[in-house]
Amino acid sequence: MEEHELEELVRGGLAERAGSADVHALGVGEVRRAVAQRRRRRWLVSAAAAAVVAVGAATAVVSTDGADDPPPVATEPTDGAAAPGWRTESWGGLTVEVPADWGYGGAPLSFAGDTSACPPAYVSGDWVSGWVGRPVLLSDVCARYPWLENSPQEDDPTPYVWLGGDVEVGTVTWPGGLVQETVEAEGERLTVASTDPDLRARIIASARPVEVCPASSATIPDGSSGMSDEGRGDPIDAVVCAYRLEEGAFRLTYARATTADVVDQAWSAQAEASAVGAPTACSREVRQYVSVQARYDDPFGAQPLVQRAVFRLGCTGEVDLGTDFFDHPNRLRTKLVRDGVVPWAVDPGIASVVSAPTDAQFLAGWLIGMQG
Amino acid sequence: MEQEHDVAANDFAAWAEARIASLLRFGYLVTGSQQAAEEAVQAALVRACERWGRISRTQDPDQYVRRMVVNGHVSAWRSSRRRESPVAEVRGTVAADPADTVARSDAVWRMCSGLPTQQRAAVVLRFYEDLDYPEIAAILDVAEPTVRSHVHRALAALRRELASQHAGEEEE
Repeated sequence: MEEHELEELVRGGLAERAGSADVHALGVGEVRRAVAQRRRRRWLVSAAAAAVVAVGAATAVVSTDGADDPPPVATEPTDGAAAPGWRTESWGGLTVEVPADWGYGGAPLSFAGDTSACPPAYVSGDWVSGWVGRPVLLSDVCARYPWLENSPQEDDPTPYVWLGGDVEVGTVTWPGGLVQETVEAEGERLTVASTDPDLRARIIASARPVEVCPASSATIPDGSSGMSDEGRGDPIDAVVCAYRLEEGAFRLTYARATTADVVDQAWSAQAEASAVGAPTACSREVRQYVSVQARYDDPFGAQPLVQRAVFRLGCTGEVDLGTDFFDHPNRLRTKLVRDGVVPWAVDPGIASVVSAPTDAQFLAGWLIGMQG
Repeated sequence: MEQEHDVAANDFAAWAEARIASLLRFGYLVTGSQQAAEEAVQAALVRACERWGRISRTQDPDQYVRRMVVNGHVSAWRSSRRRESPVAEVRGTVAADPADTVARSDAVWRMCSGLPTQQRAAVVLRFYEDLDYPEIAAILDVAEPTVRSHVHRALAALRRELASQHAGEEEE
């Protein structure tokens, strides 16, 4: 079938399908009533906000649009782990807390003279109650930033946090009511946007130095089996730390506590994968790596035992496992396999920051896939 | 001031009255369901009404509202928190009606139903609204080559769909 015949087919098919829409289901009257309801609701919210300010109730939460806003904020964050209903997100030396049900997107990123950002709708099409973005290219069809006048982004009241975005320090109020505050925190740019001033203040106040992973690394660490003749003691902690190469050093892009079981599953799956051959130019070009690590008590030693799989990701994917204590006296480095990634990539945050190697597109969905 | 407000409101009402039917058809094609179309169109019109003074002066209102309908973030879609999938319903009609034209029409709709929202919108804007590529790019807020790529891929998907349908008929 010729191209123009296909096009005609699409025209005809769409016209026929459009004819089955009920065009009397909505009238101008309904639209006007909806407008009036929104105005009343805004007025009530404004009045409530004024009352809260008057009595100085610092912990009160004012919602502008009901279901659009996140759950009420906690009054005091805990040290280390996030408060209940919240989670931590890290970038470089910065950690903040965000509501636990927020999704992920991409913060403004300047590239070739243009700056663009990827709200979740551009990446996954999913609805989110809020989102966290890092300056990572997630799609080749993101939105221009600053948001274009009358663009959907300008009107969208969905709150977000950007870590390290290419955004000027200061405050912007978007026509949709979102107030966007950008500050410097722990040497990084932190942007928080919400219609709720308490939420913005709560997130900005949670900014603190990154805790679970080093903020940066000059070199890629080695893997290790974390095994000893006497075996391992109890797990102490476990983490997933992701890094990207920027200006000669690796910057932390993602940090999350996990369990020793996850680390062991990933390490063991990679240990069963086929070993890599001699290094190539491609395998040497590592632009990001993920360290998946658990520490255990050493019942007979002074230092913890460390089991660590280091996922070296570039145009190819290799995993450094250190030395397999039982079977491989030499360093064990294997080809990246799906079962080695899935245990720690179940967190959707991974897919917003770690890119799949060019030769491992079977991991698209778990990691950022090829674009274009 | 009050008089100006009334004029703007009447202006909006006249404009919306003339457009609602076509917007609902457009929304139906883009969202894939009657309910989602109504919600998306209503949300877009509410926004347009609230800003009618500025939109009618500085924008093409049709383009503005289409953009709002297309965007997956309009509040009506958010409140539903689900994605309509009319595929199953359409598949049922293929076997029920053996006429070639109906089968081909269903193949078009099946192909559209399987597309991501933005790509489907590009197809609808191109072949239902008959807009050119720069106009579609402006509505979707993407580069023109992206629109061309969306449309090209959609047509390729339809070609595959038709080939698969043809193969299925031969097997029967």
